[in-house]
Amino acid sequence: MRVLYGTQGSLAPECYAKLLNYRHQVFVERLGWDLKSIDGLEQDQFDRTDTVYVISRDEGGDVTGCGRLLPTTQPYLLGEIFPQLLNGQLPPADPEVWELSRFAAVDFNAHSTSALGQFSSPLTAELLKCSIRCAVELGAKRLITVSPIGIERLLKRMGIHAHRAGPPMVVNGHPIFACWIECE
Amino acid sequence: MTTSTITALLRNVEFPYQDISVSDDGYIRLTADSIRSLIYIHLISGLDEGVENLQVEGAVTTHISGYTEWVTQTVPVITLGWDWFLDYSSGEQKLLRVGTPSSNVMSVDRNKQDLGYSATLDLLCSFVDEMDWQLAVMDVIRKRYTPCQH
Repeated sequence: MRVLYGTQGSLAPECYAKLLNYRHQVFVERLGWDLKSIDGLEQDQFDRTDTVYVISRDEGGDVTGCGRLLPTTQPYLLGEIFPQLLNGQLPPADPEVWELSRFAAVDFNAHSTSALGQFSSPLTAELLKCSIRCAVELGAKRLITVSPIGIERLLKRMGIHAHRAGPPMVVNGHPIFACWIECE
Repeated sequence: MTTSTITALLRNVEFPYQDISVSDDGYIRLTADSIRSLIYIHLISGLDEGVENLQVEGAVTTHISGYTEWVTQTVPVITLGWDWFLDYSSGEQKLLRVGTPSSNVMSVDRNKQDLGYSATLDLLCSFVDEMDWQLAVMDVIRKRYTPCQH
């Protein structure tokens, strides 16, 4: 697994396109999320010039995992779309808090029979560690995410200090919640 | 007993219920007694992905596991969730907690000092194991996943 990270401007155009197509395959096709894709490329209003992407690729250059990092000092997914997950608290707006979203580790070339959705790859933990390291390099001391409750098992197995910002809410039949991850 | 004596005595009594608020780090800080004294209601329970298509009633299965979520009706809300599996080893079906619970609470001592992440998890494990949750979850799972019979 090779991991790289950068903004859209720093990534090769082909790499960025593969990333968006990967997101379409995972989130739209496999998970059935109600997201907008054009020509098989999934993008939303949070894919900006300051958005930082973490991408894992296999030896052939195919994307095998991704994550998206956004500063909470600018509009981000949790603050704009899911503030109700914050248990009545205001969304954080802090240069030391970054949001991790669109995190997935599914290797479509591995033909895995795992039913673990977006976290089915055995490389999930490594990609998450890389994402946290990247966030720390960007100045983060904490991450906030909107995640399915299944991610907590992964975080615990990894020994990561994480806790809930509020109770889960059912969205499209799946419980999701806002999760704090301490970048210790 | 004078009024001042009563007042002094009351100051030394730790009421089990404290004001609930969210700290800057997102934790709700409560003593163990407060955590235990709150009423938790069932929010949602479900089977793990890949298990959903198994027939729950009368099926022969190797492993059934899932999750359950409970919340308080306080403002702000305290969330408490954990994973479970269906245990057959004793000859009867029963649900057992798996791993540590997930929550937004941090336990504190009488001086409001954090007891820490690990100590809080230990407390929550004990608390969940004392809760009477199994029947409620079993009932929800049966209703949610047993095919309707016409």
